[in-house]
Amino acid sequence: MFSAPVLFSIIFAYLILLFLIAYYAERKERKGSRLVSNPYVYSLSLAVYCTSWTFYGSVGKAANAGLSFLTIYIGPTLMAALWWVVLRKIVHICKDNRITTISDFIASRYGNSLFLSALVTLVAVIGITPYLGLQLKAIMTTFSILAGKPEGSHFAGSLITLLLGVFAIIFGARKIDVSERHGGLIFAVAFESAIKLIAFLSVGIFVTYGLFSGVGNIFDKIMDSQYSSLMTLGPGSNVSFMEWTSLTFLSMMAVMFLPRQFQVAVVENSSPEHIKKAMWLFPLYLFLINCFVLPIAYGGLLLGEPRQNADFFVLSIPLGHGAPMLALLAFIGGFSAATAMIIVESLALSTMVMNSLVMPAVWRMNAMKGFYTMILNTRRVIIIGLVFLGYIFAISIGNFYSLVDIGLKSFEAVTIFAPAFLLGLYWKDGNKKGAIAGILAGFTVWMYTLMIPALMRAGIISPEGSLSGIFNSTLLNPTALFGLEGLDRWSHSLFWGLFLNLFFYVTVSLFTKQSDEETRQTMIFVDAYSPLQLGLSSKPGSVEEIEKILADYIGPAEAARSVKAYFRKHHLTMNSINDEWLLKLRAEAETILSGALGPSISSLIFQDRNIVTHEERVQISDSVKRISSSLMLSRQELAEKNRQLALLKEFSENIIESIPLGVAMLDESLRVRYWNKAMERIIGIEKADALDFEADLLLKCLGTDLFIPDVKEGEVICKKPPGNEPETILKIHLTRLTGRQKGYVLVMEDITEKKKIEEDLFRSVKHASIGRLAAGVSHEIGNPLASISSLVQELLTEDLSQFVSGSLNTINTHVDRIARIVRSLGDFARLYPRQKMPTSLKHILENTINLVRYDSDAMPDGGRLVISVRRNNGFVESVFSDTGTGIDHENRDKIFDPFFSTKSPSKGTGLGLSICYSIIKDHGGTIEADSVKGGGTKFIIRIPEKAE
Amino acid sequence: MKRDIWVFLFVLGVILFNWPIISIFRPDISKYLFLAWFIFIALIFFVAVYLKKRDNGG
Repeated sequence: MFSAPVLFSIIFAYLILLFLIAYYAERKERKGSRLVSNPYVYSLSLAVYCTSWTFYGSVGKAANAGLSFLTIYIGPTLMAALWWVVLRKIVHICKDNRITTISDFIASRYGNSLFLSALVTLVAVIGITPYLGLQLKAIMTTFSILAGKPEGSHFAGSLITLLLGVFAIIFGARKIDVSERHGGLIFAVAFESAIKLIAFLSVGIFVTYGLFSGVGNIFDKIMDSQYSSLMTLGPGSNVSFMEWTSLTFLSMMAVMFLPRQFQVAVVENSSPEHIKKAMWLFPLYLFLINCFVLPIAYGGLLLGEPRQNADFFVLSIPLGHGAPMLALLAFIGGFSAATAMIIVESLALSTMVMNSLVMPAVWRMNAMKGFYTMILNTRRVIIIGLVFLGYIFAISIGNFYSLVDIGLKSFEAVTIFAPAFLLGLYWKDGNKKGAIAGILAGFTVWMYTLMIPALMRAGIISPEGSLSGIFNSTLLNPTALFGLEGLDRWSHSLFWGLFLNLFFYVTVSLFTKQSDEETRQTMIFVDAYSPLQLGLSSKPGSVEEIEKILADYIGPAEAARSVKAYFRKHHLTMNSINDEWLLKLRAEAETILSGALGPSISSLIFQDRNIVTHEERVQISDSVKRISSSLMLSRQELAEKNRQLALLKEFSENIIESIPLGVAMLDESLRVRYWNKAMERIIGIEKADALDFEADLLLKCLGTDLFIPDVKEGEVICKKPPGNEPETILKIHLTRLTGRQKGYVLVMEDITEKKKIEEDLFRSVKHASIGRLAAGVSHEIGNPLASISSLVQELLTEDLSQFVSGSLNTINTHVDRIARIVRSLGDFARLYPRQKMPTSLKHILENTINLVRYDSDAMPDGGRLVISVRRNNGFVESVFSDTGTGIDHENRDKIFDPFFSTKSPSKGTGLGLSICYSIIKDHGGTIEADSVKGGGTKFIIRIPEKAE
Repeated sequence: MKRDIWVFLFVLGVILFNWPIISIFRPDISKYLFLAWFIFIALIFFVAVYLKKRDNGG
């Protein structure tokens, strides 16, 4: 045990240390160090969320209700996932408008409403004061435990409260701070977060591994004990799934709307980028500080510690098991948690009270001597007042409730702000009347369903007497409002509070109109990332006037410093400043005052000074309203057009990509801007490789003069470099764009195959007609020729003169020749029509070779004929390759025509190759000739392995 | 896109930490809660890192 004076000394020394840390950090920050302004300090400062409730109350909750304490930390973890969307926007708005409290935020969103600001402040003070009391209660109780006294004295309690109040003033109200950030304070809070984590983990390790043999050991033992129901949730446990969900939701709202969280997360944020790291660092902190809650709670129960004292197992276990120094460390950890909360919360609440309740009453008294000192002292009194209000709560009704009970009531209280705050960020139609109605409804439900039962339990309100009829009625029972039974008290209050709050907020907003001021503020908040540039008054006032206004509220020295800083920042002098810069100075002064007094008062002060006249404000508001309406309409139309355009673009692209024609778009410098799939196939160049390249380089095979005329249509042969694919025949159409977009559209079709088919068809038709002619000629000439031949043969058997005999022989020779030609004609003609017979490949090849006689005409000087046969894709491919004289280019297309021959008439009929061609075609095959004059000839014959 | 990812993660978390999913792990639910909690924090971390890399063009 420790004596009370020793403990007081420790507390005092710790607070001095905190102050020194804050002072050091503030000095460093002023010198430009990033000691405070970094994501790690920001994340640790957010852990001000973990108050003495976390430090002591979580263990108490775990020992009494099992796992439900986790909701208080899982809720913020879930919310953290949305911070980049929600918190970043809030920070952005607050920085732009120098908003420093949650009441100013809500009031500012709804047209700088003073009433709303005051209402939010009142709800926050009533809702949060018990939470402040909770911290004081925890400090006083733990002080008593450590001092070995069962009951703490009122004197000790008052002294601690006063001490904390004074330190809260030192940290937050030494002067009226025009810069909304408190770097030193935040660093001290971050330091306290580290201390409480270390202290809690130390106790956790001591219990888990010092008194038990690990987490598994404790869990196994608790499962075998009467406390096994603490290990589960839902039916059969102390916590229903409904309560679990409600508590999770309440925690999600609390981490956003508790005034101290708003202070550290929004007001003290020095860079939106810090949010990104805090999104996982802050939940990680919550995870770590909760790792040992269950082992300590269950360990305490297993060690026989009384369950009703579970809130303070963190102290009682080390004290009872020979570790007093660890208990002292735990006390300091708990004290850290409580002081951080008290200092930040009282600072945030005092700013709210000042801006929303005090300043609206006194701001017109600025001409009074010592006005600045008066408002500074008022703020100090408010801080002390708030802390003592918490103390009164702690000693009056705090004893009837556990730490968790008190904390959750505050969570429910700040959830009242959620609809007006969150919907106000995204819904333009939400208005002041709706927000007031919603908050009033939520607050009424909170008071009726949570505070009245609490006050009844504390004996402050008697359940008997005149009110008993109401409280015990079916409809207005505070714990079963409108007859709704079966819900735990948190879910019950949350359901009715949130439902009625939302109902009134939405309904009233829908059926009432926004004022012009509200419309302006709505745009600033909802469209936070697209700031509105307002036309400003043509009467900005003078520098002296603006400085005078500032001096009245923040002191002459600070006002002069702010004006000088503005001049220095923009490199201005008194002579060089013009109306535009004066307007900006006035805007700067308004935001400075906004930081010190709140935006509602700041706006009123400048309104009162007539720097912007009433008529001008009305004009500006009207303009804003008109612009707002037209912008909203235009935005919807634009979104619709944009959607249609996207659909049309997709539709057109699908068509262009799916057509078999190559389409390319070129700009004026012939660089490719579009290249479709067919183009890739035809040219053999991928889209990615073609884009941005010059088309005349990509399409070199088409020739360089392609792009010279404006419009071009025709067929071109694409000659590819040797070794590449064979040349292709392309049909192209080039059009010059004449609209705003200059350039060309090139449409291209590969007609190589088409050309080949056309040629084949032409040749087949020619062969057929010649065949019919040949058949007729063969028949008509063949018959008389046979008679002539037989008569000549008969005459030659007679005894004739030498002349006659010689002449007959000559006739016979010519007849033979004619007969050969007629037979050839007959052979050719007999091909149409004919009957196909199954035959061997060998037979076909032999016939073909016989027909294609490689004699002295093909290779007059001798040479080599190479015949190769191979299977190729279901075809038999025969290649006849010679080293002969080759074929002239101009004759190459005619060699398969009937009667075409380059030999003298006596040496051939010119039907050999055309017969070959016909036979092969007839069998479904192809024959191609590839020849270069003087370089030999190659015939490639492809015949299907199986007939069709 | 960024906003959608965070909203998706938030909705995923709400589902993971509420009925009926948590009822699957009864009666020994504490292990699930702590494990899922840690994984969820890790997910936030990885998404934040991924988005930062994407923004930096990496």
